[in-house]
Amino acid sequence: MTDLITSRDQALRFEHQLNQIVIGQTAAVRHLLLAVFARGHVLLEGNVGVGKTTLLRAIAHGLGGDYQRIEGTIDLMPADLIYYTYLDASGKPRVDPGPLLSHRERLATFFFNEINRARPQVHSLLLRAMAERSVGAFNQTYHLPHLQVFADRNRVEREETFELPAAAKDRFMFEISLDTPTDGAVLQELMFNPRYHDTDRLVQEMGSGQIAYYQLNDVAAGIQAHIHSSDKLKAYALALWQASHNPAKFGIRLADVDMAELIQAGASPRGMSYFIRAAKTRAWLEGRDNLLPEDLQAVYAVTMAHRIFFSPLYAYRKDELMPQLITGILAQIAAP
Amino acid sequence: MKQQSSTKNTKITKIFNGIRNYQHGVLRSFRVSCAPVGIRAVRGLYLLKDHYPNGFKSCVLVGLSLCLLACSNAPDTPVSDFEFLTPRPFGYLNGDEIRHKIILETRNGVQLQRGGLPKRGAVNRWLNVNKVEVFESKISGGFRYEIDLVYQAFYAPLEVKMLTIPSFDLPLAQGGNNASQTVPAWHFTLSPLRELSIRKDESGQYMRPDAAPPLLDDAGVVYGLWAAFAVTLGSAGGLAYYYGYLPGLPKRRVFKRAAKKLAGLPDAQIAEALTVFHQALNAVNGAPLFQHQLADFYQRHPSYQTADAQLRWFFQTSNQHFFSDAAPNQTNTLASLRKLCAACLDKERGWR
Repeated sequence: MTDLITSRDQALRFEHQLNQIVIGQTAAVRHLLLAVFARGHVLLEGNVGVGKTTLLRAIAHGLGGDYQRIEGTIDLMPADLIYYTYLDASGKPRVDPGPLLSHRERLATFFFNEINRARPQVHSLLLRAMAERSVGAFNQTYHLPHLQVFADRNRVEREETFELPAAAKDRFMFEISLDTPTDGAVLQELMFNPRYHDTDRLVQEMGSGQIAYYQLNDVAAGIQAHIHSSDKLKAYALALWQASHNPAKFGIRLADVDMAELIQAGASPRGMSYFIRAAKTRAWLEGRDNLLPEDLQAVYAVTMAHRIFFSPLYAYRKDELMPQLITGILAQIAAP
Repeated sequence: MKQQSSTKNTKITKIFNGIRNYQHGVLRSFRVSCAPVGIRAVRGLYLLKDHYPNGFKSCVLVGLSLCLLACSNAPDTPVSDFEFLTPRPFGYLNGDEIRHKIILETRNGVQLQRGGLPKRGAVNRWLNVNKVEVFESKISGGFRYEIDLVYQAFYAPLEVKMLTIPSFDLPLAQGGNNASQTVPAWHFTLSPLRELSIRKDESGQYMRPDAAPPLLDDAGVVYGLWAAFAVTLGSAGGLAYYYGYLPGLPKRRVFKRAAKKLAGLPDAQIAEALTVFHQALNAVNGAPLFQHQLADFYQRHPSYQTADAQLRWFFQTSNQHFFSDAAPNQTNTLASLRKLCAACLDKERGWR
């Protein structure tokens, strides 16, 4: 209990420091913090140059583990993640561990930039690493117990990209949008303050190792065990889940939409477990030992939006309809 | 409308009285102080008659004569002001009432002897006094009387006839001294009800009713009446909506129904009571309302802002009851909830 209180204080300080380094992204920083302490992988979506990499480097620096980054390209093969071959100085062929294996157990933050440019074969390898936190190579299994994957999906360009399959998306706890800040003061600060021009120096301002990366799994387990949920809340969470499958049953209506035809697939059980894990982590950050509806509401959009699949008839309107559906579900379902 | 006129113009009378009072004061003091001097001056002029030119002596003599004239003793009348206000002196018919008003101001404590006023009843065979009213008030040095007289003439002339309301005296007294103020006779003409000359010229029906008067244009009034009726109906509807009396509009009756339900719940059913109030708040909000949405709720329903502390207490109690493992403190919860519901009912009705 005392450890959880201490960890919470550290987590809030960690969040505060992140907000000092990447300004104007308070909501995204909070969600990333929840993902870190809920031990969930994160799919980032946003425009270029909004601070995604800086934010992830700052997190990696703050957690103290090793950080690895790989760029998704159309010719990237799964083997490129595991090993690479080259001729050494003596002219002999050599095989060295690739980005996933080079840091072994110390690998804490793995950033896959532009994941939708990589082939599905790469996705499937990554999925196993994400789900099982292990990779088979060189006739043995490499365990990556502290691995947390952050994948970036560029929303601007769609050419030569491979849309992530539903199974791949489902393995990400959150899909977090990082948008360009709209506050004029923040934008001016980003433009004119030289502090934000040198990201290397900026990341170094982050205190290193405040929360040891190797303790995160234990802290997360402690949080999940510590936070209680009542029967009423379970009923509310169940209603939220069911509404992702059949929103019409809960009286949710969207303009120009046949609600019976809208949903092709709702959230998976794995998604709901991620949902509750994230909500419990939020309750812990708020200093409570019980879940409240507001905890569920706070993480519903980032947990659910990439797990609900519209029928082809409405899929092209996803960017317009998904926020309406999420808002409608949260606005219509009462608790208690 | 009777046209009132006055035997004296009031304003002129007052100015005249002011001048007269001034003259009285000045001349009285002049009589005391200047008269002996004047007499001596005339005597001196006579003795020195040979030392001055004739023109100068004439001017001095005329001036002195005027001064001595002013020193002559002006009478101290008991009445400082008298006004006789009468209506138009024509256009009366048999049975008409005629109103006279007399305003009398006395000086030196002179009082009106009311016994000398005309009495109610017949003055002569055709004139009656219907009403005599006297209003008395004190003014500086005397009294002010306003006497209202209502006469009624019962005279049936065959042609237009001049009649006279007779003169009478208003008796005044101060101690043992008596005086009087005469109210002049008042002349007026009385017309016949039936004109005989017309009867001679016209054959046929003599007594005819008046031509029916044309109806006034009442369209504006009718429109105004309908407009007022519409406004009244609208206001009544608005108030009924505001107070939640319209059965078809449940939003205004949300807390009314909740209060009824809460009143019927026993203390043990806290969960039921909290749910009832949640449902009421959700109905007002139009969607489920959670604690972190209160600020937005107040923006749309500002009147509930004043109950912020109570509403926060409600959400905390609800959270504790429904979502916490800790045993909630249920002391007075239902009573507090009823009180909160009553406060919200007032806001729903727009009273607070």
